[in-house]
Amino acid sequence: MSVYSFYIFDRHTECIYTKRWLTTHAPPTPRPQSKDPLTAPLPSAQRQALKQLDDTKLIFGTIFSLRRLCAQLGSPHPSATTTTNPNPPTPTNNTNTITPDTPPPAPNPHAPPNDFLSYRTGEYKLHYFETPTALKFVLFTDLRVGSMRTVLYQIWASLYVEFVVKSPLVVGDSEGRGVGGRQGGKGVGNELFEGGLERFIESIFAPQPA
Amino acid sequence: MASSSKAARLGEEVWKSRVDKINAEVLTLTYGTIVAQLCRDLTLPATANKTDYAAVNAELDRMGYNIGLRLIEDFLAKSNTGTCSSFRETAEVISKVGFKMFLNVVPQVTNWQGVEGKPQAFGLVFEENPLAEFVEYPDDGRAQDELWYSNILCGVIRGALEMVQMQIEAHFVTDVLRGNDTTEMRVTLVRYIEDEMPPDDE
Repeated sequence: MSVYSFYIFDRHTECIYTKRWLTTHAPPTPRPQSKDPLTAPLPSAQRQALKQLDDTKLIFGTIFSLRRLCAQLGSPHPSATTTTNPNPPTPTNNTNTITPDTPPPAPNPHAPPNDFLSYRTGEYKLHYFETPTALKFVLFTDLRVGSMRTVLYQIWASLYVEFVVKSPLVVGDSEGRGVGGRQGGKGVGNELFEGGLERFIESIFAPQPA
Repeated sequence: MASSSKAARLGEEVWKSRVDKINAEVLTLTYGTIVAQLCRDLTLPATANKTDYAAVNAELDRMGYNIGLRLIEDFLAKSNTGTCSSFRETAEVISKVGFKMFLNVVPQVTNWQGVEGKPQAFGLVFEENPLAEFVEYPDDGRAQDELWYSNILCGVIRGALEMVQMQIEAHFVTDVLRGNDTTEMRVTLVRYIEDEMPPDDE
């Protein structure tokens, strides 16, 4: 049972935190070497950073699409039926358009009924958790783990809220905008959060064999 | 309404067990000091000591907005509530759980306006306002008409709801400090904010 990596995405589609434990599940593809200085490979640190950026964008795109897919294929979520148009063509008779057999939204964070939870491939399992504030937590683990929703919920409630939201040193959600580019999420990886996260993950997953 | 009594019970339970508490007077006095300092600092452009109450109101709202952005996460984590299904439920949760958790007051939700699809609004009537104990307005004749003492609360609600995809507008309409009978805040739903799309860089 092992965990591979962990990502946090904020509501502005940016990846604000990345943590990797093992990289063996995604070996970097060797790039063809070139003698021409113009197309020479970038220094490996830069390449690594670019690859990480690509990875995070790819992951975000995947979960974004999966979320929409599940929402469209599943039963309509009550808040999804609210129109943003303040002047609807005809005033409706019923004040909401929920179909009668939709269960009422569960008053707990453990998923509205049609929310995307996780997917698995032959190599890894991706777990997903989203808060009502559109903060997204993504966890990659191996195949033997069950549902990690409570783990992700705990990471959010006890670690993220305590050490990131309440930290005055972390740039807040709307504070970084318009100030020379994106700064949102800077400082998420502070010591308290990282340390707490490591300890928490260690306590969940058995320590790696030496 | 069944959901409102459930919200009330949740608020009570969260208040009793899951929040740290401090002395209310510490909060009252600290807030009063902040407002007094703002009144001293923010003066009308041409003068040195005539307070610009509109600027004070705006500054309190801005401070509240920044507080609200972070407060919502703490609120969601402690109260375990999911997404509200309607604006009406949002109003109930704000008044019975939110205010109870953070200020130990339960304002009444009144004067509900509008239905789904049309502009919706509600009022919050505060019977007691812990921020405004022991307060007297200065005697310059203008504070009575221009200053909204608890304006930080409007900002808090605005910031918090913006993080859960609702754009609202909140302002006080009456205040006992101004001599009215009640303290009431009006909250109007402007629109629901759509999810942000990732930037298209193909």
